[in-house]
Amino acid sequence: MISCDAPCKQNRSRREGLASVFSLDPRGLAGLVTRALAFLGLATLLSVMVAAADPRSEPVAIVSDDFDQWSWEPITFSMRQSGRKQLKAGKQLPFEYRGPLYRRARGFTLQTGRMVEGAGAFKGQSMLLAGCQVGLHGRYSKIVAAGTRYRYEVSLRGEGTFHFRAWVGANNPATGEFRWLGFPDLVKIQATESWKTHRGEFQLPEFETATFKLPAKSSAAIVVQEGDEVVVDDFTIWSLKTE
Amino acid sequence: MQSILGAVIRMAVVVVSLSATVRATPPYGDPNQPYDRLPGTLETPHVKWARPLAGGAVKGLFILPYGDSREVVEVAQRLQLDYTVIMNAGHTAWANGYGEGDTTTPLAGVEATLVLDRLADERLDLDHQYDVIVIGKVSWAVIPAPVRERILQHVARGSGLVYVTPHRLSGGYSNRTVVAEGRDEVFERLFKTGDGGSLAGWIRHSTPLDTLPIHMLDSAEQFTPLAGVPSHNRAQAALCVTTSRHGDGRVVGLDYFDQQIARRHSNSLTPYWNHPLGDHDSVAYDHSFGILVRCMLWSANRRPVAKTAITISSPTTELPAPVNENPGRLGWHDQVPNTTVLRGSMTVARVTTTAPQAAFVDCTFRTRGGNTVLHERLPAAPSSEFRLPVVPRGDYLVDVRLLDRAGAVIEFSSTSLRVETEQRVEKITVGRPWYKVGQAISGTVQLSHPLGEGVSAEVIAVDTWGRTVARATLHPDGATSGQFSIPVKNPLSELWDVTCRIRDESGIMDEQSIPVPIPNRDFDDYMFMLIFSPTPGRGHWKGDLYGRLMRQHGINSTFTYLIYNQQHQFAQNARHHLQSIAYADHHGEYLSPGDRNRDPNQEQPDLDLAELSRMLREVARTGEKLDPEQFPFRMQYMGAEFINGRIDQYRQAARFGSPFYTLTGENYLSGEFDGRENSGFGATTTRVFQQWCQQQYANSLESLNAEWNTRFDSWDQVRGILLTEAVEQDQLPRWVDFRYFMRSRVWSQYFIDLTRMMRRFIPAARTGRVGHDHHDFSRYRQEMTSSKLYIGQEIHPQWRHALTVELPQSFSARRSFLMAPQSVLRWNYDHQVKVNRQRYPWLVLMLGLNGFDWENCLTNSTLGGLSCFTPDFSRALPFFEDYSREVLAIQRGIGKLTIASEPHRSQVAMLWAPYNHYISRTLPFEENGFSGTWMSNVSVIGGAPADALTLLNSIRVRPTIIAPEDLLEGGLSKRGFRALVLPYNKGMSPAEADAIRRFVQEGGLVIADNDPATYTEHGRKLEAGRLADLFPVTDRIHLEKIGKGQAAYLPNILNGYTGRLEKEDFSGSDVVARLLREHAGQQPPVELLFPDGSPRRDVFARVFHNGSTQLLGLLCSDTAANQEASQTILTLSSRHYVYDVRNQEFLGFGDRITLELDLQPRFLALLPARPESIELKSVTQPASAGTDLAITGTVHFNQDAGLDTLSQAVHLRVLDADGNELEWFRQNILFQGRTFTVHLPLSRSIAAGRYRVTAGHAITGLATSTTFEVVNR
Repeated sequence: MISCDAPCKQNRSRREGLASVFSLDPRGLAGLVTRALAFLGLATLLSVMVAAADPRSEPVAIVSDDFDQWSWEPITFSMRQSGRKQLKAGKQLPFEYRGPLYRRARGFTLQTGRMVEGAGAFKGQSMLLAGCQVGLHGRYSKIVAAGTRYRYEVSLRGEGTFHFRAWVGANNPATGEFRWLGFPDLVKIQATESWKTHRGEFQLPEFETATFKLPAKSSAAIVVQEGDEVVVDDFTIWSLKTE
Repeated sequence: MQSILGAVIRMAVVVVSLSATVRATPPYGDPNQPYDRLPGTLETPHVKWARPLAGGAVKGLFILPYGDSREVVEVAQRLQLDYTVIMNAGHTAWANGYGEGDTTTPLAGVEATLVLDRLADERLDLDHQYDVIVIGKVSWAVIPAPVRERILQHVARGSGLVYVTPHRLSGGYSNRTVVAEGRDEVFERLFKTGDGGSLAGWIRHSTPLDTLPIHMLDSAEQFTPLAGVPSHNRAQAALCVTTSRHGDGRVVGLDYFDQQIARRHSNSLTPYWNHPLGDHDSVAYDHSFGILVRCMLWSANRRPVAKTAITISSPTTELPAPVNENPGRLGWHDQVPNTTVLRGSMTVARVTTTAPQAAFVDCTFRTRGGNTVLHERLPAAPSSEFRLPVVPRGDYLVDVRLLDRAGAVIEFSSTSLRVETEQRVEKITVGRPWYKVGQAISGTVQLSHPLGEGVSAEVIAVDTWGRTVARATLHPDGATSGQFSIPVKNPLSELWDVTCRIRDESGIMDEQSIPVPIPNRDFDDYMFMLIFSPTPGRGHWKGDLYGRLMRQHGINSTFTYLIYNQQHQFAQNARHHLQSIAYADHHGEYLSPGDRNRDPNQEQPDLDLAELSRMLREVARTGEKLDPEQFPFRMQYMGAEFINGRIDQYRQAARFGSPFYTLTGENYLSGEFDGRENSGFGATTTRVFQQWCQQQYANSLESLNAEWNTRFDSWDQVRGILLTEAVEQDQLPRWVDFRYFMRSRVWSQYFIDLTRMMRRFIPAARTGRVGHDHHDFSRYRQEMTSSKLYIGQEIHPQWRHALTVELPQSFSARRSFLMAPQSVLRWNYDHQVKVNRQRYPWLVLMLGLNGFDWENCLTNSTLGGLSCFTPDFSRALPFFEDYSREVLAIQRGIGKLTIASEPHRSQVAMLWAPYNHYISRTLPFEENGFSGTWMSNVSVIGGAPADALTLLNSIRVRPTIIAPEDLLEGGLSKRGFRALVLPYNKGMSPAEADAIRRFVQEGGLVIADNDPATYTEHGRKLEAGRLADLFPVTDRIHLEKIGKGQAAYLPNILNGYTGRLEKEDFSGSDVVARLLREHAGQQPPVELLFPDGSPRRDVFARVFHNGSTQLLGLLCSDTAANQEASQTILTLSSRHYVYDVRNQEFLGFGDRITLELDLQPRFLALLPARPESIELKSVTQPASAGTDLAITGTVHFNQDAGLDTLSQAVHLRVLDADGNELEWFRQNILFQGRTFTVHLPLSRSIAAGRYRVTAGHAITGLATSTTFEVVNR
């Protein structure tokens, strides 16, 4: 795991976005044109930066989560069971709910953290994670290929550690037997009290695969331990394809 | 965090490891895994075309789907064959086909691939020498390349290859249309070129194609689809034969152009056709094998040198042969024999056969239906000749086999002829579509010509057992017509064929029949029903065979597709002695596949069930069809025209009996299955909702607004709301009201209205569902009282699933007809061990159900599984025999007696207010829900009411479930209830609360859990509960005296009891038992005690009363403690003679009986007197055919007391002198007291001779028999 931390401005609203960086008026056609130009400029700058980081790589964004879209979804039966236990134990649920629905970040198929907006958010809305893992099914399912390098960027604040952890399982093709090989942290970052954007690269560690063959891609999840509270935003992962 | 991660990992490891290590269930080689097993011992009707075969057996390798591998045995019946079989999954699937979940019964996944690869490798090893390899419609593109290569290696060195319907459909077991990409030159060269040459000629001249549903073409280019006829409706198959060579091997393409449809009828070696009336044409099926045999012999280079020709010579006639109406536009030719012989010339007609090199000529003259008229073996001559007998008008076949000196076949051939007369029965009509017992079948016969000298006509009725049950005179009412009348008396089948026969001095000249239904609407015995499986009347060999075999195992009924307008299936069922259970409709808001994916965040105003309800009510009111202009609404295809079409179908369906009519299955309100309801916004629904709300809120919009958090100014603004909007706008009570209204007043109302409409055409029809519990059962008291319930198939169903059964039983009482489900799609709990299989049929009986069904999908593409027989149907699998043994035992009288009995109920009510379901949904993390499984929105399994019922059942106090309206106006007291249980009644109206308060004050006991009456009935949390005075303390067990009664609050005593019981923790049961005993006087009707005197809570017990007879079912929980037998004392309210009915064993007399209980089901009878012997009175006088014979039976008891109402059953059978049963007389007789009477309506056609009647006492096993003599006068 490689990481490099860079301080970032806190709580820029989503509306400000690029405009705040490039001091552009986002309204009207002129605004659209200038925004397009700004985007192209930024894209060019990014590609130059990436090329500088690894001249053989061609980045493809495979995760781009800004946590700005949230929807109300039905609380599933398994969530009811586990939630009941947590509440009886005096714990808070990691998600917000009203009646039979809970709020979930768009793009995820199972529960996420809580929506944070306003002053507590990085931009627009962010996601507060406390004692939970999100994205293993659906969002980050089967995204990490062995032998491929990935670059990530994520903005964090809070207390505790942000993990992006892989669930590495493999099958014996001769028998069909399945076995877990490990759960390595691909990204592990200690959150800070104020927002910070973290960047770095990761790669799935090597495993013994003589008998058990890895699938084409393994799944991963964001994990925040119980007792920790981490707010996350703008989580992006690029696949760095080797030429 | 570590704990979360650890739990996630542990769970994942367990789940994935289990799924990976569990093999097919049962695995390959297990006695219950039918894959790769062909005992080949079951014989079906066939002609031994080439058996024995001159030159010895043909050694053949067959590659065909597992499910159709019976057809190899069929070939072997007709051809001397030494066969090897590689069973694959399907025509478009090699190893992996259909399967359901981890416990799917077929081989699946890696195991499927490994097993099939190994078998294919072994059986195609080049060390083997095959005369011929036959591929049964398996796609060339699906057969793995190494297997194809090995096949061709065999062929190249001389094996023949016959490919039945060669094709290249892509893989995927459900693929029917997509062809593999690209060209396969080898495939085209081998199977798509060549003209069939001499092989095609051989087939043509030796097969009676003129009368078969097979249309032979010279080339594939000649094939033309039938205009407007979907391929699955074709009544005939096209056929094109190609021949080619590969190395030293001869290759045949036997193309029936049916690769897309053959799976439906399980045809892999034979062609697909669909008889319009669902008949299985066994003669054509037989000839299909004749064609295949010729292809195999040609390909194996075993084609006989000898050639034969059959010639029929008779005077020529110009008399036209009317065409067979059946194929009509559904086929290419009219299936009329090319040769017509005038019946009057038959005495001079000759059949000549050339028989070179033969020692004998074996000739059979048979009807087109397959009945042999004449069979002769003639000595060899260059030209053998025989005369035809004079036979009735009709189509016939002449089959010829040339035999060598050893009797082996050297050649075979067949031809057809039509026997015609001018004197015909033109038409028979009867006055009614169906008849009741006691009515007379009055009808008219139209003849083609006046009856001449020496010619007479008669009318007879023949039942489906082939018995002539009535004979009537034809009274002429014109030169060519006459009338008849046949009284309907003592029918033993649901269909009579009324037949008019014209006779002359040579016998029957012509006859025509008309089927006359005599519906049997008595469904009083234990049912065992086929469902979603091959069944008679579906036009194929498997349905015909399966239906016949399954009857021997207790199957007595079959799901009948009224929904698809298959009226003929009712008649077919009657002919196969199966009762019909009508799958009438599948209504709901899921009308097309896309309806499952409607946006849950968008209102769906096009769905308006309330408007359809209004239309149904109009039909129910008028009994007339709807005017589409007056009722223009359509919900996709459902509209006035659709309803009118159903009226026609219902009218026809009334001709036969059905215990109930399924109106819906797994169909729902839109979004309901996923808990994202989005319908209820149609115009009529909204209008009805407004009216309902006005009623609910006593016309106070202010009250409604206060409850809903809305600001409506008028009732016109009131409407439903989507869940998401209700959440966002803080209006959940509005949503609770709306969804309860939708379930109770729209969904359930719809089926009530549909039932009432149906009853205009099928009087007194009982209706119901197959599926989940998303209904307001409190409304189903007269309609929708019957169902196939989703219970069983997992451990502890007697506890877990009791509510699913209790709801309809409580609300509809004896107006219900309820069945349980069973299926072999998965290797579920019930199948897994022998004792489970023994328990299930008895559990069904104990639960008070009328039987259960048996689901096989034997036409699916699978590698094994999904069956209760070996794939050739030669042997039932052991697991099924276990079920069958118990079913047959129950069907010997005890089932009927139990079904006729009244179940014991205590004076305890349990309140089930269905709007609480929606309140519960708004409280997802509450201690216990209103229902409690992952399907909680559509199922009542789990949750607080289910837990409470488990607890009450466990203390053997069976409650009756009631609804809020049953509380009002002193309803509890009026019905004699002494106690009321409130398992989940958080929502409660003031009227309900007042009624409960009054009940307690007057002396009743109320027991509650889950904070009763703390919400309004609309779901708004109350600051002070409406029953706070009854339940002032809710944080611990508390008993409060109120007036003359008591109110007990038992926090988490009712909750979770099912789960506790399953873990052998019965905490809470004693306190409830004590409360009921001390404050409501409720004791269980029987008690079960451990030797130390403590009560057993782990035995499910059900008591039934029938006069002075009590029946008691006992089923121990499948817990660790019960794996071994344990001593249990059964205590009774008074002294009884106690019998173990299942084992037919006397257990003793007394009020305390010691039992050894284990997992075996126990079914006891408690009698006031002891039966000591049974006898049937001797029949001294011979009985005449056509009369009714009555035989008196007597049971002798040890005493007289209590005998008058002592209910019993005897099981009767009648056997002929050879010991063959006359099955139509089989019956269970219920009676009270000492005597019973056996009625045997003897047919006019019963053979003279001596018959034996046996009677078995269903409770004790006492048996007796007597004989009677039949004479034909």
